[in-house]
Amino acid sequence: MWSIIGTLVAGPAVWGIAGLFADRWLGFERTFTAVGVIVGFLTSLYIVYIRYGRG
Amino acid sequence: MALLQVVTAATGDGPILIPAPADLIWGSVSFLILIFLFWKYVFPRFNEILKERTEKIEGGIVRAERAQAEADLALKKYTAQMEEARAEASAIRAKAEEQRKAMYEEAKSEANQYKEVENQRFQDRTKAEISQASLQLQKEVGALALELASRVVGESLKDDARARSVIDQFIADLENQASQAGK
Amino acid sequence: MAGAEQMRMNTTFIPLSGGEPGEFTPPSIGEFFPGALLFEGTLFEMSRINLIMVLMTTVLCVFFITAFRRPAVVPRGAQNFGEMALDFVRINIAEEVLGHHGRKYVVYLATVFFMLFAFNITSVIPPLQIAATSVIALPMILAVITWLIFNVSGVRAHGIVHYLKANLFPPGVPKPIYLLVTPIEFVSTFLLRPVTLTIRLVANMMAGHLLLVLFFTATQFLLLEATGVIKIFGLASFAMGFASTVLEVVVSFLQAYIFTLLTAVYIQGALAEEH
Repeated sequence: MWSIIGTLVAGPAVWGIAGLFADRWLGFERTFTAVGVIVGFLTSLYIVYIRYGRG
Repeated sequence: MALLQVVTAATGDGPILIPAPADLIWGSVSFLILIFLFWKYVFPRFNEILKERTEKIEGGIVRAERAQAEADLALKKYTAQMEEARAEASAIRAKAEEQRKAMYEEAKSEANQYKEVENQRFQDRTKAEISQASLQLQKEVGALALELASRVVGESLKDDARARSVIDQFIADLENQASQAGK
Repeated sequence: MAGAEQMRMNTTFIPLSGGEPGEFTPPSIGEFFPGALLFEGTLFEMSRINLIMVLMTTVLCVFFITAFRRPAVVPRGAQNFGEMALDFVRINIAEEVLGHHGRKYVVYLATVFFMLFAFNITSVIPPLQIAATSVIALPMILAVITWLIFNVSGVRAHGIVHYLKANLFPPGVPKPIYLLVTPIEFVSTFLLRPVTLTIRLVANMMAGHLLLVLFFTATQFLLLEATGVIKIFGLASFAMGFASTVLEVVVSFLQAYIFTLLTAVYIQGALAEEH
């Protein structure tokens, strides 16, 4: 249970922060941050499905 | 650096996420003392007690089984003894019955024998008494007859030898008559 | 030492008694940065929190040493209570989560549980009034040790390659997707776990402390300084404070339990064959 929540939090956080760096580096406002959060969230859903959903 | 900025921005107060050195030291010391306590003192003793308890319970079960077996054996022995006693009692009873019968028979035959003897004796005595009585009677009848004859003749016939022979003759006749009448 | 120290402790321990009369001071985050009381200026300087740590460590030692000094097959008194508490960790946490592996980890799990419970419960014990776990150091120490234990257990059980592969590269994922998946798995397993363990505990104990201080400070202020009908709010505040105290006892137990349970769950996850 806790690890599912952990994954769901970690997904958007990891790719959101990655997007933040990309924005800074490439000079965008929040484009990559937003993309990162969405991609991260979808990926974390996918991980939850892979790890716990198929059993 | 950016991460720290994010964390700081999120909490509004940086130092709250940074542990003070003194807290780290005293916390570690406390942890080390406690894990040492549990590792070297509490759990060895606790496990020892748990083991002892398990053994006690298992020992109890073994003891109970042994007691059960002993009880079964005792019961079997008791039953066997009972059976034996009963057989013995019935044997004794049968023997007693036999003895009683034998004694009864013996007593009965003894009684019969006694009765016969008594009977015999009684008959004998009766015979003797009868013969004695008849002898007496003869004597008295003789005397009476003599006296009667004397009265009839009018003289004493006592010293007369002839008279005596007459009387004897008379008595002999009487006897003959009597014995013929008895037949 | 005892007299003067006691005076200083009192003024530090119960911040509301030190406040200016007629003035309501809401509790602040400064509560969690207590000043030094002993050995000031050295690395071993002791704050109120550190004194509570030492005190509760002593209390635990005394309790368990008394309970198991002459252990009897038929337990009574302190031993009975101690066994019930140990059995809670041994059966309901260690064996429940870890099965036959439980025996190996029960010492650590029991240490964590009793230490956290003792350090949490000081938040409602009158002269202490703050949980030793409401500063980040101790939860952080335990979270790091838990992290070390579950990772070392996993590596010892499966070898480092297999362990990392099972954790970072879940099977049945198309190869390019690992580029997205693996960083998340790394963060959630190896970074987020100790962080959430720490934050959950500290935040709970901090919030509980602030709630208690708020209600009892307000009670004092309203009963002593306010006039007329407003005093009634003081009683309401006191009732809330009482309810919060009860809640805090439950939270103290629950947070110790959750931390210990999660430690066991993480170890179990690391030991398990499939991830």
